[in-house]
Amino acid sequence: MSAGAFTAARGAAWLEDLDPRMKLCWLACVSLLSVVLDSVVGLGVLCALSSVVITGLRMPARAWGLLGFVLAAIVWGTILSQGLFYAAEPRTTLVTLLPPWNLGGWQLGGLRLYREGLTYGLAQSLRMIAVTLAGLAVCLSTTPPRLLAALTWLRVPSAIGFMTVASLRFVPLVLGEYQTVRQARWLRSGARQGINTRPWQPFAQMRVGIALLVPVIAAALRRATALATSVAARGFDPAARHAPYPPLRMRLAEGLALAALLATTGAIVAAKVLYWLYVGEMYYRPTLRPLYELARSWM
Amino acid sequence: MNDQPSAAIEVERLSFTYAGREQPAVRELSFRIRAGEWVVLAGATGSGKSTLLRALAGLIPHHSHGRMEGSVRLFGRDTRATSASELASTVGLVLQSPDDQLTSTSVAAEVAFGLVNLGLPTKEISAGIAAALAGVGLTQMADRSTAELSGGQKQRLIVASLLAMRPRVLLVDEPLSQLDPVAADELLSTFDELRAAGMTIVAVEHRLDEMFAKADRVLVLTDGGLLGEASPGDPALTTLFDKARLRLPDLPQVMHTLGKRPMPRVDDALAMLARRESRDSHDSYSRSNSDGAPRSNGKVLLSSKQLSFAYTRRGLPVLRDVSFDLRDGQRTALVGPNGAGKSTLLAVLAGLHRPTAGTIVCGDANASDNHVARDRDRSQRTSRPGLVLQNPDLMLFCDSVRDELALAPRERGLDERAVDIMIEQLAGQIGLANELDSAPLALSQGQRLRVAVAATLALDSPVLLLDEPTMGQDADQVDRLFAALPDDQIVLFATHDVRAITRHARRVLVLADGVLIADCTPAQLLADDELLAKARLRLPPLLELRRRLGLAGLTVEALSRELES
Repeated sequence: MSAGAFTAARGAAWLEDLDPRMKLCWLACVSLLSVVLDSVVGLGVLCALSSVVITGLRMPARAWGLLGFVLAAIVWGTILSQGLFYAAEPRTTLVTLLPPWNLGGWQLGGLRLYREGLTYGLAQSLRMIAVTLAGLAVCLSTTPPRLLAALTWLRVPSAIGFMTVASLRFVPLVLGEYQTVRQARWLRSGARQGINTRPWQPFAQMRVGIALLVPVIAAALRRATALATSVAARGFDPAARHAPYPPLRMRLAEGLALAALLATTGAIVAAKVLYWLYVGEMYYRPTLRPLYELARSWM
Repeated sequence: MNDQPSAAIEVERLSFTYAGREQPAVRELSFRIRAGEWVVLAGATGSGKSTLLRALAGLIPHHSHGRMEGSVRLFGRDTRATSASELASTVGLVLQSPDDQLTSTSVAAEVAFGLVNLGLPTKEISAGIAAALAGVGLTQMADRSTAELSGGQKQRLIVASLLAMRPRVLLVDEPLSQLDPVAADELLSTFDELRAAGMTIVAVEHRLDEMFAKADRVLVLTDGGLLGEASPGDPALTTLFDKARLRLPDLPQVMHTLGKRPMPRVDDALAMLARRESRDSHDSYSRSNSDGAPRSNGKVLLSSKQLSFAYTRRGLPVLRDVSFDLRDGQRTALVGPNGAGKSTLLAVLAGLHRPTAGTIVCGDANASDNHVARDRDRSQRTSRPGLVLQNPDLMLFCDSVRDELALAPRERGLDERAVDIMIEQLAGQIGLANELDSAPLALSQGQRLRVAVAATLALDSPVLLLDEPTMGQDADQVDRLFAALPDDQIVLFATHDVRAITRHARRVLVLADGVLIADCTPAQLLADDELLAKARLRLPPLLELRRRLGLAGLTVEALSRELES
């Protein structure tokens, strides 16, 4: 059996060829760091690294465009909402969009854009983008068999590993079926968007919109039942632990890169923990002052 | 040395009642199946066939909630006392839809799934994958993604994933229902080879024409009980089928009508009929059917002129210069191999896609610009043909059959009185008058198809398009559906089912690689081997007999009359 049997069918870009355990570790590290880091610079670097990694993926130009649009929408939406509605103090007004005014005896506070809010929004959006890109890089570059093998190797219970992989396989099918149901709705009466287009009847719209999910859910349940029967008949035991298959072999370079990744992540987390202990007045060492300064400025 | 007991399966007084039900799904079943035997389970919907298969596979009682009485023994071992992994290496189960059974996206990984569950070492797994794929002729596909396989190949892949676990019994639940005739033939050949190698096969299948020619024995179930058993050529089987209200396959039915043994194989039937094959049978057969292209003087109600379509602007065209007219009352079959463009043509005609070139005229209106991306006026909807999709379940989203039928007329602005009259009329016509308040998705498969058809007829369009209405349906359901359609309704249906073509179409359009390559009668299609091959169609046993005897009739009734005279 050739190794190609378990690699990506689209032709292996470098990311697709990478050991799946390393990719899962990458996702875990990015997720951890996006929580640990507070500095916009640090989060920006993390986001940039995630962006570099995802370029190892082969996607059509249209998909890249869509991804860029979604990420830009996340950044814009998060920054703007935090900039306008930032409530913590201190806060510095950058622009006053609406001055305070009196409305029939009610004093309204006006609408302002705050500098701290924009910074906070930028940090939040960078967190989301870093994790989203890392997650996409892992899911889109790893075939389900290799992902399952990596999850098995990482001692993830069989039931969870299998469910993860099965859902990756079935998500496109379910989305396709929802599209078919929308088409069927049009075929059945001519409603363009698959829902009742009478804007003056919002509840009717909602009811029909939910109704369109019924055949999709019914089909998903039928498929889940058939799959459960099929895997049970093939001896699948969710409580059992098996050796990963296909066998995973990590190359030396991958091993070194993984060690570097884990060491860097560990060092950053350790630095932040020491900084938090210092800020919380629980632990202080004068020799660690450069580290505190580094953590405060860049992490 | 052979220490196998002669019985592969022994069922003793087996009853099973699902949790929450009062009536058992199967009751007091007792029978034995010998090793290497091919047995077909026949019975109407709800007769307990699938429950019995689950019990034979050991899923009952291991993976089912309910009460089981009696016993099932596989090669002498009681399934209750056997672990799931031991059962998996003794018996394999193939279900109806291959897509629903695939666990992986890679061919090799799919086969590996069961072997990993058995806890085998890596080397044995790799060897097992190679051997199993070779066993079903998919060695060359080992490195492929499952998405690249055809329906037949996927079903064979499932068989391979089971064979890798080296079972001695293979249980198959309607494995042919989703396959075209050529793919079904390939799968049956695989089963044949397995049986020759000693595998015991137990099959549930609606397409009995193909299955009967292979089977050693048929067990007939009714209401969860065993009505009786007989070999496919045994006259007793006719009585059993009558009692169970089942339809015999076409060839045995003709033989029975002629007072002969109901032989399912063509060679046996020919010997039984004592009629020699005429040397020039094929010539006379062809001449008898060379009556020219189908003619009709009715009004043209759907016209496709130079229709072309591609899914993307720079993509390859899926349809190229397709031109034809459909006239008043005409029922036309659309045939062709998978990927020929049949479903796409129906979707373009119905307005789901905008044609890249050409025109569609429906009734008196130009329908080319009336498509899903543009249609804003629902009153114009009837100027397009109505389409029933391949999976009618995805067309049902209302709480009751009544609401499904009322959807289109209500949205067209008909008053409630007119809507009620229309519902009653449609429900009566399509045989659903007693199910108006039932939830559509709770109905049987045949009834769900008829609800989707009736809901489409409610559009009041002059043309009805059906995408694979025979897929997953038994022959009776298909006959019932066509019988329920109004006589003056134009119907264009895509199908691989030769029986449905001969019974329900007067005209056949053959599509290959997006090009209309033939416009003929069913008889002309059946006379042309090249055309049949291009359309990936196979003659069922009855029509094979017809061909070899040089007869003209296309249906059971017509051929029986011809043979009697």
